[in-house]
Amino acid sequence: MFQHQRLPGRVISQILVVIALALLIAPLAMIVQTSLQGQGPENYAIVISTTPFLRFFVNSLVISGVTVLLVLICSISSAYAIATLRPRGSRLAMVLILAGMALPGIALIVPLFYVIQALGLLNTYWAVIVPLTAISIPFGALVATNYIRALPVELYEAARIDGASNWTYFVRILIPVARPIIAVITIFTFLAAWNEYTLPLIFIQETDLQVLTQVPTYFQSQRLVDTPKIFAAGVLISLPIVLAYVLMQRLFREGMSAGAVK
Amino acid sequence: MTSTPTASRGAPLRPGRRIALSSYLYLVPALILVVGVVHVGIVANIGYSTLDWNGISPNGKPVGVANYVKMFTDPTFWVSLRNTLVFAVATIALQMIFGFALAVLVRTRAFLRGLLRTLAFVPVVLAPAVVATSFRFLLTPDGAINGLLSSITGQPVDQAWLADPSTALAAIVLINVWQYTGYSFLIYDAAMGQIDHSVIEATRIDGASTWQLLRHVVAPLLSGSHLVLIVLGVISALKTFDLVFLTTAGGPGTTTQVLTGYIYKQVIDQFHAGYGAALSVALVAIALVFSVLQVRLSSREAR
Amino acid sequence: MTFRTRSRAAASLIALAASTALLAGCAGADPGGDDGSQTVTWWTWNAFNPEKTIADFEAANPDITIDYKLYSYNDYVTAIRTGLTSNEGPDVFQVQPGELVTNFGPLALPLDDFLTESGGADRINPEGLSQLQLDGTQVALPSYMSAAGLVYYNASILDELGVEVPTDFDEWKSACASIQAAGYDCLAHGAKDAWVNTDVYLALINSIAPGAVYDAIEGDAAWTDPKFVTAMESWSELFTSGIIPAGATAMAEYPDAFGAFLEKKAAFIALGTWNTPGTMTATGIAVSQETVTATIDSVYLSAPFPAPVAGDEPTGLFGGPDNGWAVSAKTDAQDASLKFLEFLSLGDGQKIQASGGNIPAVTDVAVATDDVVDERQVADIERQQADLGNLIGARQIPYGDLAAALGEALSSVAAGTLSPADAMAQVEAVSASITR
Repeated sequence: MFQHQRLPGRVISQILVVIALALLIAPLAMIVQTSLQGQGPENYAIVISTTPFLRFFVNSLVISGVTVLLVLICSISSAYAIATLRPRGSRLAMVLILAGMALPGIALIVPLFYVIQALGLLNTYWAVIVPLTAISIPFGALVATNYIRALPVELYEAARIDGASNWTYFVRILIPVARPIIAVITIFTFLAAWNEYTLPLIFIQETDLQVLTQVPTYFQSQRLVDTPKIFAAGVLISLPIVLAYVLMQRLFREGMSAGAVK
Repeated sequence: MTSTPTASRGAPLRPGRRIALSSYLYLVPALILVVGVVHVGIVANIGYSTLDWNGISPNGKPVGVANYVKMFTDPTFWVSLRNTLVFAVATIALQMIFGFALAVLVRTRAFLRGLLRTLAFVPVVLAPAVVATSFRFLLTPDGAINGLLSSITGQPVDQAWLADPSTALAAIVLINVWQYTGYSFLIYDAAMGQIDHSVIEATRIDGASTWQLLRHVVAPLLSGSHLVLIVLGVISALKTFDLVFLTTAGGPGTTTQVLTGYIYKQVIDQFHAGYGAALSVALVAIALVFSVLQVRLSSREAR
Repeated sequence: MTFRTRSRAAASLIALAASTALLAGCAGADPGGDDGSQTVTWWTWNAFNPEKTIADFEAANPDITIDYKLYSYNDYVTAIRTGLTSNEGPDVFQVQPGELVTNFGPLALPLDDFLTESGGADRINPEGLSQLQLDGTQVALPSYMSAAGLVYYNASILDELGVEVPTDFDEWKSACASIQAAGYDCLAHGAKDAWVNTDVYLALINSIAPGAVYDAIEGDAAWTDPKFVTAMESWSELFTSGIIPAGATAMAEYPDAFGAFLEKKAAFIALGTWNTPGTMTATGIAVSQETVTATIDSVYLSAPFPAPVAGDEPTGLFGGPDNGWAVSAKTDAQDASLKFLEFLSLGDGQKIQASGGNIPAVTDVAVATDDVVDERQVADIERQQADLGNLIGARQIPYGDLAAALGEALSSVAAGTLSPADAMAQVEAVSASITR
């Protein structure tokens, strides 16, 4: 889009890119460097071998995966209703859904605990998946609504003229066109679920079901904090998402260049 | 073909009763989950806020609106509210500006722009604990950031960024901006990808400079994203907890205390679950105001 | 991935999750079903040598398994609330004198009968017992005793510079001058942590007016009395005079200040007797070594925290049980839990504490001094254990609001945003408003 800059513009852009990269990389380099202190690269091996790392990895994957799926279903369908179908009262629905972002985590824990215990879901994946989905839907609905609103209105109208039902339009046209925003919601929801710390801490007591965010806690007690290993654990926990993002990036850009209209 | 009369942009084409009902079905899954979990939680908190309760024993003592009265006369509440709002405004503004700039930069022909696109998101991915602890080390008086500043300015810099009450909040803002600019970047990136190239071409042909292009064409086209980022930014700033808790814990004194940190302190350290619930209700009320504003503004926009 | 394959993948993922969740639902089964084999769930934030404790106990009681969970303190206080009210919580859990005892005490099994039957009433340090009581009921038994009012110092640095251990602030300031000239910091301090700030304040006030602060805590004296203001002014002096280096208000005691102390970057640190294992015993130092890059080769000793007013006596020790063990009233493994409790507070668990360098809760076991790295540390440790018999009072302030107010006051004064007099007025305002 801005490929045709004249020389001064290109120089400025280049300088800015380099500065941005430097600012981004410097603290990252520091994090990696700290993770290699003490016992060096062995820290990583210790993190994986002395904690139930693989077990926790699987648990995190399941919880995050299911959450993403549920959030996508709920967000895209509600955004479709709010942005395209617009039945009466959909604005109220939007406010209700957005309000789901308003409650801070600490205030949610106590009432949530009673509900989860009453439903007998304590100590299961669902104890984490259900609240996580509920608090992630508002973001997904918000950005999806924004995205769908920006689509040309002819898209829906043309489909309706051709005799498509709302459902057909939804499945055959809207979802493929919404791939970029699906990618965005997937990444952000997966990230929130993957890094979630408090919900699994409180609602999952069984070590076999615990998640990756618990790994760093194996390296700290009240008076002894093994910072290098905590950082090594942090890097290991972040790697899968960075990889997922790099992969999704290509999907994301393919989706965009495939074109939305026509 | 006769042209079908269209109502205002985006409005449905004369929905029949059957269609309207099925439209509601699309809202059901989201509403069940959000209302069933969060709204129930909000109502529960309103209930708890009328109690003098330690959060553990089965019976709290009903005290009516005493907690709210206490809140309005509590100086720490106002300090933490002010800090939260300052934090919100600063982080949102900076993240939007930098995120927008990054989205533009990756669309130039600059060398290494692909790397920038990938790296911009990496800080977002990191666990808050890791980011907070790293920056705690970087921002010490003899830390790496002061070292960098010393070499740039040629004079020794030994500012205690997080320990000095006059710079602590600013330092926390900058840490947050470093971590989450990638977030705004991604949103702007998706939105810019939707812009029709012909509009850009036309403006270029008219002789506009890049700056004019950005200011008068691109930025307005992205107004939906601006709005989304502001609302998201306010609500996430209201809920910021880990960053502050793990760097300064609200200190020194209460200069960096934010609302969520104060709620945590009241509930967990001081066992005032009722008062903490009242504070949460205040937070929810503020967030709700912004949510309603967003819905109003964006649907007016779409018309 | 096309839409169809994506939905197939999604469907299989949901199936996997659902089946796992169902299995997981069954997996959270009751801990002690089979005859003969019982599980005791043990939740802590700070247990000393848990591996040996569990191994020794399980060896002596082959039909009991300990399910051990370690949390960070903040996580513990959050998780224990729901843990104790659910049916899948801990059997034996950790508490600390103060608000934890007040609020979680009602959820614990009363231990008075157990105490009499097991003979613990005669063997355990009386302070250790009294600080873990709620309304006259014993709700927990101590794990080990600890006290603050000390400062640990790097004897190697002081010897190398020919500096004497200071006994008051004047001596300390001149000592710091030499120490700082040699490139070290003087007192490493994590002023971000309210608990260590409170420890230092108590050390100051207990020198100026021994024991008076406990009257103020109980509301029988005003915090705005001159002696308390003087103590706060001395606290401020620690920062303005440079004894505590700049940047302390953003540092945590663990790991930042302690790390600086271990890495020979600072000469002093204000910690209590719990610091002895990690700095004076060979086994403890090996554990501390794993958290820092520089090799630990200094000799560490302890001394009373210097008196703020020149010529005054330094503070005596104040403390009590470092933490205690309670049994959940909802436990379904009561006999096993009480057996474990007996091991921890009266049996071989106490020997593990003593051999590690901690001061045991029972008065008939002596702290081991055979693992020290320098012979001066033997007398040091013996002195600590003896002084623990004459505690001035407790370390923890039993009222959460008051503790928070004092903590905030100390932090603000340290940062220079509040004057000592105003700070004490704020503390007094809170103190007057709480119901005791």
